[in-house]
Amino acid sequence: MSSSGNRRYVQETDPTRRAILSDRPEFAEELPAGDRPEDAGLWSRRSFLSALGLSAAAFASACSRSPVGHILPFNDKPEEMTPGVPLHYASSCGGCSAQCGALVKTRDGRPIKLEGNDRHPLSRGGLCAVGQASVLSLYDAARARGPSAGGQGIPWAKLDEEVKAGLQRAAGKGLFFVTPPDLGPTEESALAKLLLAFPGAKRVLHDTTCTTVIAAANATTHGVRAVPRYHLEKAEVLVSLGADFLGTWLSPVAFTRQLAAVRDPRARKMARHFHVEAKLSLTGSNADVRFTARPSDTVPVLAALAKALGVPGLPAEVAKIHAPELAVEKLQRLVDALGGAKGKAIVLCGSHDPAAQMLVNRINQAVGAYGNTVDLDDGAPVPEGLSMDDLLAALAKKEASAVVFRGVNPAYDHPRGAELKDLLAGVDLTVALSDRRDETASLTRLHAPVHDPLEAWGDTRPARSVVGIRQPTVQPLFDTRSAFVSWLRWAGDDTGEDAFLRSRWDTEVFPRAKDPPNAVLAFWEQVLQDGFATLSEEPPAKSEVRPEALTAALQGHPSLGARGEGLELALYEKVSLRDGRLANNAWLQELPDPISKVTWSNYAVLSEALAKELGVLEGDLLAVSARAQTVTLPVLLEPGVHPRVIAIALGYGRTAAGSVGDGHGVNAYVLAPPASAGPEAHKDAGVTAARAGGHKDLAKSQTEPSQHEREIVRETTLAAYLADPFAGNEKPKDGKRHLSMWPEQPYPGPKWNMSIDLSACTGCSACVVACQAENNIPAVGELEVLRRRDMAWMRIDRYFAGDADEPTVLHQPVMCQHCDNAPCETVCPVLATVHSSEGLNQQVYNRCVGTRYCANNCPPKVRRFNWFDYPHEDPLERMVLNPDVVVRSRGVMEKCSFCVQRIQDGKAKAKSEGRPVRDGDLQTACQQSCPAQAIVFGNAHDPESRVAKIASDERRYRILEELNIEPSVSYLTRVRAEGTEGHHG
Amino acid sequence: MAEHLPSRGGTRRPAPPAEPPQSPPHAGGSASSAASGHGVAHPSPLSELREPLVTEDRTLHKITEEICAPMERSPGALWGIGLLVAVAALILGIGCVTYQIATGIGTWGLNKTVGWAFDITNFVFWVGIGHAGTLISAILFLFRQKWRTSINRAAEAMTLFAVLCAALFPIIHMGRPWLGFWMFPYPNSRGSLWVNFRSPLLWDVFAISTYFIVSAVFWFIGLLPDFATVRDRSTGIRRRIFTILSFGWTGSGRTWSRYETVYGLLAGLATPLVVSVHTIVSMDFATSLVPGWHATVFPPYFVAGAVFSGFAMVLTLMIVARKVLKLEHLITNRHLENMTKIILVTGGIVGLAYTTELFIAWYSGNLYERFVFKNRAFGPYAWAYWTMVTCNVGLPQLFWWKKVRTTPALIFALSIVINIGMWFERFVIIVTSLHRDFLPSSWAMYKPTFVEVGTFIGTFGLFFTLFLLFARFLPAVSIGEVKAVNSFAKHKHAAGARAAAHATSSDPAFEEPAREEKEVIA
Repeated sequence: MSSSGNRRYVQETDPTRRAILSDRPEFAEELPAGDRPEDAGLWSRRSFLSALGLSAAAFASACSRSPVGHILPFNDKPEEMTPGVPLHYASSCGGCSAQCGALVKTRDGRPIKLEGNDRHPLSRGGLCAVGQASVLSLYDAARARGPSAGGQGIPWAKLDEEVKAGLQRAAGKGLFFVTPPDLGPTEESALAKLLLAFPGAKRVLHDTTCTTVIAAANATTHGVRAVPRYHLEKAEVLVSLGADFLGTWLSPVAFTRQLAAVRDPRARKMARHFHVEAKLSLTGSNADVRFTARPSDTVPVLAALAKALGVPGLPAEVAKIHAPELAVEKLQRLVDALGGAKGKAIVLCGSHDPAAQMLVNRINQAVGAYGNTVDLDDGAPVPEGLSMDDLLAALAKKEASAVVFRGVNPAYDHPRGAELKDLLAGVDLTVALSDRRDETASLTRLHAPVHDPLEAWGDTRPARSVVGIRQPTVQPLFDTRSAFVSWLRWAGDDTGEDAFLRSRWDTEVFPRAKDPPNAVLAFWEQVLQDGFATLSEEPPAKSEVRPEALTAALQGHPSLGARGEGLELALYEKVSLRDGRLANNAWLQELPDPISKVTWSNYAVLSEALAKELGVLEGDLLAVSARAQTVTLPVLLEPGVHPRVIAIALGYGRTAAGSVGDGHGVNAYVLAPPASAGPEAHKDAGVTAARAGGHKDLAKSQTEPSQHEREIVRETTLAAYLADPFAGNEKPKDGKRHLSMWPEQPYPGPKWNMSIDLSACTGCSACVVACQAENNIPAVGELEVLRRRDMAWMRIDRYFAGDADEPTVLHQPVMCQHCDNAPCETVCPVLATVHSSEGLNQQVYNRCVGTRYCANNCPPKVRRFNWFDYPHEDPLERMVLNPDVVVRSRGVMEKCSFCVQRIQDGKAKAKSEGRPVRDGDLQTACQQSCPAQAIVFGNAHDPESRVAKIASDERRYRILEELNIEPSVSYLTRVRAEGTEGHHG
Repeated sequence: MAEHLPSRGGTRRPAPPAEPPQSPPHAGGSASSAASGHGVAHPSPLSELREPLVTEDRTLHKITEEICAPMERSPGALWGIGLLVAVAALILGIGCVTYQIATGIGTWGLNKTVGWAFDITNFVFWVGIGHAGTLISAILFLFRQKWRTSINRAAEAMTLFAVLCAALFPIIHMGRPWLGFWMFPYPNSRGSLWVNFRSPLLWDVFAISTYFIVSAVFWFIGLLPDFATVRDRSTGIRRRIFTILSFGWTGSGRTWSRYETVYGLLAGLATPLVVSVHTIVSMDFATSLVPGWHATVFPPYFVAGAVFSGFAMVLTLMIVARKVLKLEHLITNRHLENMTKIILVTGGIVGLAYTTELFIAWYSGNLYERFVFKNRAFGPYAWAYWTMVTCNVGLPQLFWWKKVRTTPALIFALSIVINIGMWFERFVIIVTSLHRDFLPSSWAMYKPTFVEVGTFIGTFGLFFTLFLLFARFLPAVSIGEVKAVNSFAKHKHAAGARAAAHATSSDPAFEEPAREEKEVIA
């Protein structure tokens, strides 16, 4: 005690030190993390108090330890929870059907952020925009607060009673359970129990994705009803026909990660990516070679490919398919590429047409994809079931006496959803299990609200050998119940939620696990820590291959007849809203579309040629009719759209999603072909479009399409890069620096730098939402975005180049560049934006008076001003706020902080372990979420850090470097495997 | 002192160190009147080449009467209507500002790209207008431009009111105006946390506040003899107020002497400020790195522009005021013509600056710089750019014709045109530079809202309310100084003055100043 006491005494009498300390106690550079090293081994006051507290707690709690069956609210403090320290749960994301692995970050008992789980075998650390935003949906005020009957709240017991009675009455007389195909193994088994309890009950699969179509196609061509596990990382040639696999198709996070692995120019070879589509998608914008084709050209193109590649045993009908519109030389490029990469090629198709998917399978078989890039044995199994059309037919024939909807919303997202209202009216028992009284649930008498995925136990099976666990991370906010508990209750089983799941994992998963620990409890703990289990599964039993199915699917197929020249519809999903399930999520609504940069709305995407023909300008309302349905929506002109195609995004025009999502855009599902494979789907849609009169400005976050030869995004081709690694970039001028007015700033400790690989970045915008979630960035609404006041700290700039038919697209994430010579810092009159000793440009909200001079003087325009008080007053919504980040008030400037709270956290952790900060101790939110791992962040002073190593990369450049602003963010030139060399325009 | 100043022709007569005052108008006016003799044919001007500055024959008393008349009679209907309109505009402005401060800057049309638009445009516009007053009072004073005497008072008042209007914007444009005092470096409990001396906005705070204070003091000091005149002419409450305002003015030789010294010093002090204020305002832009702002030509360009717009505003006001206040013989066509000449010169400088900017943008080869000027001339705000060019460079060329320079109606019309043009100049500089700068992804358009327009109208309301009150309650023309340039005064004035001085030296209400610079240019 005495020695340290003496030292302190000396320090405190040292006048210089005392002056420094007394001068700036609140600006201490380091966090007080742990005890000072010289105190180690001694009983300091702090360690004495810890020991005292611990022993007191031990005495108090040792006598009894009651089994706890619930997640406890914070006032009963669980032992692992420390106020101010986040707790992560390894779980599975519930944002879409991809079921990526996620770590749920909770603070004080409430989930505040989802991060990717880097151990997960599929998603491997990334998480998409939808996943990032799904945490906000937990705190959605529009969620149902409890079970109800006819809109009136009732207790669960009463609801169960009513349902059970109804099911009894309906047994054998048309009992339908409508579910999505991806319920997860545990819920599947609970549902199986229920189906068993009521013989004759039928399962209806409602699917807005093409999962069921792909699984069915594989059942016919390869005898396995499953969605294959794709291995793009093994591919050298990728051909995608309308499959937006980087944005919306099946499992974008996993695909992005896989593709990034084979698209790194540093490996001196890159997979070549060809894309054929009607409307520019995120994936198309990243392709090396992209062709535009009408949706009706899909089957002809596939047939031509199959013929050219010599696919054996094609039915005679294939020969009758008319020639594709796609030019012969373009087709030949695809054929050459695929044919030249046997075993290392893959064809993907986003079509819902079974004929197309069967042709794709045949081509993949012929190019040796199966067993290499397409692993069907490890595919995610898809259950069999009736289609929605079957249900509608049964309802029309009054053959249904009970219909139970679970997690589906066909009243909204089925083309004939509007008919449900009348059809369900006469049904004896109608139940909906969903998180809110959505369009479908408001048509049913009974509503059994389900937990949010973050509140519930559950599991997923994204591949045959991978079972993901879903853990509850918060006490259910409302009087809701897991869907599988409802199935159990209605089947007469009283097992609890966790008990049922545990018993299933203990008996079904544990025995099949790959290299499990020897005890079941240890296995369970490992699963909870990892978030998934790997199974060693035998290859699935194969059913008989049915080649005649392709023949049947081609019966009456329009590709066989004469080709029409009419307009065609391309209905697509946006990266943000997807099928519209999370339409009430403001973060997703305000996420700019990666291609159009429009927020909060859908629109009719036209080529300029078609717009001229129709006599419309951007923003003019257009009435689009198909299949006797008409929607009216504004026009958006975009390059890369086939001139005979009108593209409309799905997922908008909700009417019962909640106050945020309702009334934005129009519902385009009404124009969609019925999901069935029947001749109905092949009927000419009779698409017409006419000017409707009126105008609606589209709320874009970026309006200028071209980068005006400014070389802000630099790109080159692989060939040029191999010849000269500086291709597309400037050679550095041997260390010469510009003169500066100001003395050079010393950075004694770490210096934080970021690098973004534009070759890896796809523009998927996951980082944008991750940043919004991490930093409490408000969504401001359509009108404010229209006024160009979106608050995103991080944005993705998108530039078009080349001609309008075959544009090249450049994506560039831009956030505060943390310039060493920051122009914002010199102009602030009150020193509200200052430079840290670690190279961060820091905004002091408390000091800011809001002159906006810094924003004017910011060359990349990354500063965001609080034009109004953006309310965080909703008691539910504000629970999502990150307590580590201040909520900004009106009139102050804000911007990217390089996630300074994470930096401090990482530094504190390193310090408490008594070592300097290492690469990997901390990740910014954008970096963490990036599925392509395009973002690298770290200490440039640490020669071992990745960012320091990138500093000497030939592709590295910094934007607007000529201004001598010395940004801390650098970019790596984008390299395309094929195509013309960087046209800037 | 006078001898060292450049002679503008004619014989120069050394002034007595403290020339005794001349006739007190109400008491001993007869002395001087008698000396010159009423009804005597107008004496030939001392210089045949120069037009007289006071075109009609007036006794000193008559001048006092005429200038004080608006203060002493009840105001006319025209004044009342004018005030009503001005106050209505002011109330509109107060309403808009209140709403904006209560709700947020979001009530304006600004966005993430265009962070300044109407606010700073109006600020620079009003600061520019505020330039003419001090230039007329101080610089023309030091250059011994006699013709300034009849317009300097009103021009200085205009300066003060314009600077008040201008000073409003830096405050209300803040996101948190209630913390505006943080702009001042004062010892505080935050560490002490100081202001950023590198920031041009801080320089602005000093420049504007210094300019306002010095201009106000200069104006007030210049008013002292006239306050005393009014004091002596009035009774009751007005007398008491003016007694306080006149600081115990006695009109003694010593008072005059002190007064002269102070006025001269203040003129010297104010002169560099005329240049510095707009130089510093221009540095708000010039020291940034926004293309279109970052230009070394800005300081002279802005100062010339400020004088240009300031004189235009003085003309606008004077042409109305001399008509309404019936002071055409004091504020003569010659005054107007002189001012149009200054406009012609400064307008030429402004035009040169425009051309220089364009040339440098091309010559620099800087991609961003070139684009900004191309965008100004042919982009979405081209209409604003061409309005600016037409109003500031095109139409003022009409002043080359003497006919135009001497026709008040034409001058009035052109002065309005110049004011419009100069407002657009600032709008063009601010908005067209910001809205399309480095990264095309951030390019955006700006459109003002009702609140911004209302606030701008409100500042006009404030300006005219103050000006109308000034014209009603204070002598709008410097009584003392005008007398010195009265052609009557030049006639045998020394002899008459001496005679009068002996007769009335005890009278405190002397009002003929004996400033040395008022010695006659013969």
